[in-house]
Order: sequence, then C-alpha cells, then structure tokens
Amino acid sequence: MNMTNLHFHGLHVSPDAPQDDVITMMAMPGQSLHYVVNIPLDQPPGLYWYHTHPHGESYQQDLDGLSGAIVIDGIERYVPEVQHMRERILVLRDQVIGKDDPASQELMRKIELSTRTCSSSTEQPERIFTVNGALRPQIAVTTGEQQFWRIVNASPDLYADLQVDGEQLEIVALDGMPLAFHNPGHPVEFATHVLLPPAGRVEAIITGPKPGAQATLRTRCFDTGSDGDPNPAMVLTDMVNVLQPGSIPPPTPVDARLPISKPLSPALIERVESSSPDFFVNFTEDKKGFYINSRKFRPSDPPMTTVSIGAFHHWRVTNQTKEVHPFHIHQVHFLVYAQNGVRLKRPEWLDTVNVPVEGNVDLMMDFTDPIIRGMSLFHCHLLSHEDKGMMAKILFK
Amino acid sequence: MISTRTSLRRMISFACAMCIAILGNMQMTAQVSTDSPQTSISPLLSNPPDTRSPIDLTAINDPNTGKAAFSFNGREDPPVIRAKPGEDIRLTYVNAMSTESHERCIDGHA
Repeated sequence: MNMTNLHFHGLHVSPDAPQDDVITMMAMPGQSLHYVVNIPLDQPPGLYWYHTHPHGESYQQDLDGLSGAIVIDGIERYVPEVQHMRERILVLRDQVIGKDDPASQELMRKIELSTRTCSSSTEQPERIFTVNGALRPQIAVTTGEQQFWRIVNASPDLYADLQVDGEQLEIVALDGMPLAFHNPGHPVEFATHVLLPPAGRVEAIITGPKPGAQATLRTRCFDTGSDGDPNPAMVLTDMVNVLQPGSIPPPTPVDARLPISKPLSPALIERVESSSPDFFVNFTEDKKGFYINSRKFRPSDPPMTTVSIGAFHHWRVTNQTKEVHPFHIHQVHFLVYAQNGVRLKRPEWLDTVNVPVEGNVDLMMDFTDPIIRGMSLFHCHLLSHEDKGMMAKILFK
Repeated sequence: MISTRTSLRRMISFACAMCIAILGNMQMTAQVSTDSPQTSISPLLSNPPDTRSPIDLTAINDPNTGKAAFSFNGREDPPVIRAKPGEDIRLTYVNAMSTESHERCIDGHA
C-alpha cells in the first residue's frame, strides 16, 4: 500500500498531531504530513532517531532504509571532553543477502561473517549490517586519538552486540540519555561490549589503536533463541590510521539555564521497586501472529491501559516465547532495574530493552511529564512482530 | 521466527534477495575501481548530511531497485536532524512512493 508516517523515537514529546502521532497521521502516496515537534527544554541531550511507523508496513520500510539519526544538542554539558573530539554518526542498517549465490558469499567474506552460530536457530543469515549505507567502511582515527562515536541500530530486527577490538567502550549515553542525567556523579561507564537491540543507541568515546594494530568495530554473535533469527558475528567498520583534514567544529551553544540533571532519590526508586507491578506486558506468539496480553493489535483498538500523568510506575514485561523481543514505549524512558527477578548491578535508563527468552524485565516507567498526554503506543521493536500484532495503545491522561 | 508467509511469498522474497544481492555486488565493484590501492577496497566512512528545522523529507521508490528510500536535497541520504532543547522541529514529509508495492518491481514483473 506504501502508506507512511514518521516516529521520533525516544523524544519526550506529545503523541498528538502534529507531533509524534503514528496513529492518526498517515500519508498515502501523493499525500504530505506537516510535523511541528516541540522538543522540551529538559529533553536529555543525545542520539535519537526517526523512522516510519505505518502498522503493517513498518518492517519493510525500515528494512529498505527509511530511517535517520536525530541529535539533541548539549551532550558536552555532561561530558565536556567530547566537544574536542571528532564526532562520528554511525547508522546501522541492513543489506539483504541470498543464501548460496557467489555474490552473497563475497559479501559475507568481506564482513567476515562468522559461520559459527551461538544460538539454537538453524536458519541461515538473511541480512548483514551496513554503516551509513556502506558495507564495512573505514573510519580514520589516528593513534591515541579519541573520537566520539554515536551509534544507532536502525535495523528492523538484527541485534548489535558491539565491541571494539583491544579496548573498552567508554559509554557516555544510552538511548539518547547521558548516564549523568540521572547520576551526575557517574558520567561514564566502561564496557567490553554493549548490546543494542533494534532501535537501541550507544554514544561512546573510542581511542585509536597503537601503530600497526588492527582494530575493528564488530558485533558479536547474539543468541536470539530457538525460534529466533540467526544473528551472527560480523565486522562493521575498520579503524585506519589516517589523519583526517579539517578542524573539529565547536558545539552548538545551548541555553545554560537548561536543566542538566534529574537525580532521583534512592527512597523513591526503592519504593517503586518494592511495589507489586502496576501493569504487566506479556509477549506471546503462535503461527497466526504475535500478541501482547493475548491481543493482536488493530488500529481501531481502545487503549489497553490508561495512566494518569504524575508518577513513576512499576511495569513487568514478560516474554513467554522461545525468541527474544525488544520492548519499546513511545514518549518516555524507563529504568531497567531487574532481569528474571534478579536486580541488575547497573540499572540503566533506556527507551528500548531486550526481554530474554522465557524471561522478564522489571521497569520503572517515568510517567511524570505532562507534555506526553495523549494516545501513545508500546510494542515489540522486531518490526515484523509489530506489524503482525505485537503492539498496544496506552492513553496518558 | 514463526513465519506466517505462504510458500509463494517466500519464493518472491528469495527472488528479491537475489536481486538485491546482485545489485549490492555491483555497487561494491564500483567502489573497487574508484578507490586508491593504498587504502584497500573499502571507502572511508562519511557522516550523513546535517540539517536543522525546517526540513523537507520525501519518501520515494528508488528508480533502480524499487526499494523505499528517503530523498533529502535530491539525494538518497537521510540527514542527521539536529535540534536544541526547547526548539521546534518543523518537517514536511511527502509520500512520493508508488501506489503499487515495490516487491512486484524487484520481482521483475512490474
């Protein structure tokens, strides 16, 4: 049908037209949509993204590449050193490959696609990652040079478990939210690898390798479960020791009166965590489709739940299938603080979180912002699942 | 993943995949011939174009592949949208895609 619209993923904006409305705003071929999206003053500065969101066609359009990055200015207020580093925007998308034809074999060789699988999935890989539309491009980084890499996984269903050879990622922000936004005393976190489910983002400081050392950004093999798609290891980019001409532009100045953090009291977090869940999301699937709380989404549905704005809520998202599902909700971030009933050592603020096979995650939803009032959505961000029903409406009142 | 597609649809998808793979290979061959030998065959990563509000974005079908694509300033290169907190993003989005599904095009029968 080729109907289309836009979703502004991760922004704390209104779900009503003409803003982040993917329910009533829809353009058929020949039609136009006019968006005016009011970015709030307290939007966490970082990496977000836009992509199309027409129910039933989201997967194909996102696979084709209808996506792009959004950067909200001001992240240097949290980690000042990044303003002196060269910034790289990396948008990960897919290229479809065949199975046994020589052209596909050549592509798989080029990206060192691993034939070793880490999952119980028996299918052959059908897609590989591109970076800004190129297959295994090179990034110029001189020895010891620090760069600020802002990476969005815009694939409709590939996970990216990112690692850089021989070094740790110095993570500054996840899903657009600087780590310092809620934890001013803790602006960076080191990790050997970071899992980006489809729609996930990471912003990290990378250091150029020693002379002669090969360094690549790669995704590790990720186990998507016995009913999941293969998600093998492959190389995304190589770092090459080349001096890039041109100076680093200064950051766009932002209003210094803007709120810079939203620290939450440990007592508040503890109260939400120790409460029984306010709402349950159950992901299930069968041969006929994909479901939330046994319901397959239809655009005419009433809201599955209604929330009065003004409080933090405890949600538990449960996966009753044999494959992973990334949970996403529009308009807000949430604190992921437990997985399979075990408290995380490092709770994370995200807008998209992986829910493990036959497992669950506990979330503290930030429903405090009056700006988000209206009809919104939450869904699985494997977009073919969303297209086939794994989505539901939420009314913010 | 549990598939609800029919076998016919699978065959069409396979044909699409073959077609895309061949096109992908053609692009790669082109890169080989234009790159200097010192930097191997891969291109240097380029950042996408930057833009700020107001923005005009168009969804099209690529004339060669039939695949959906964002067209921005006449190129199929989706921009990075930059905005300050407190600003409005004004964006006009035009759907200039075909009324027919592009899968027929890639299948070679459109």
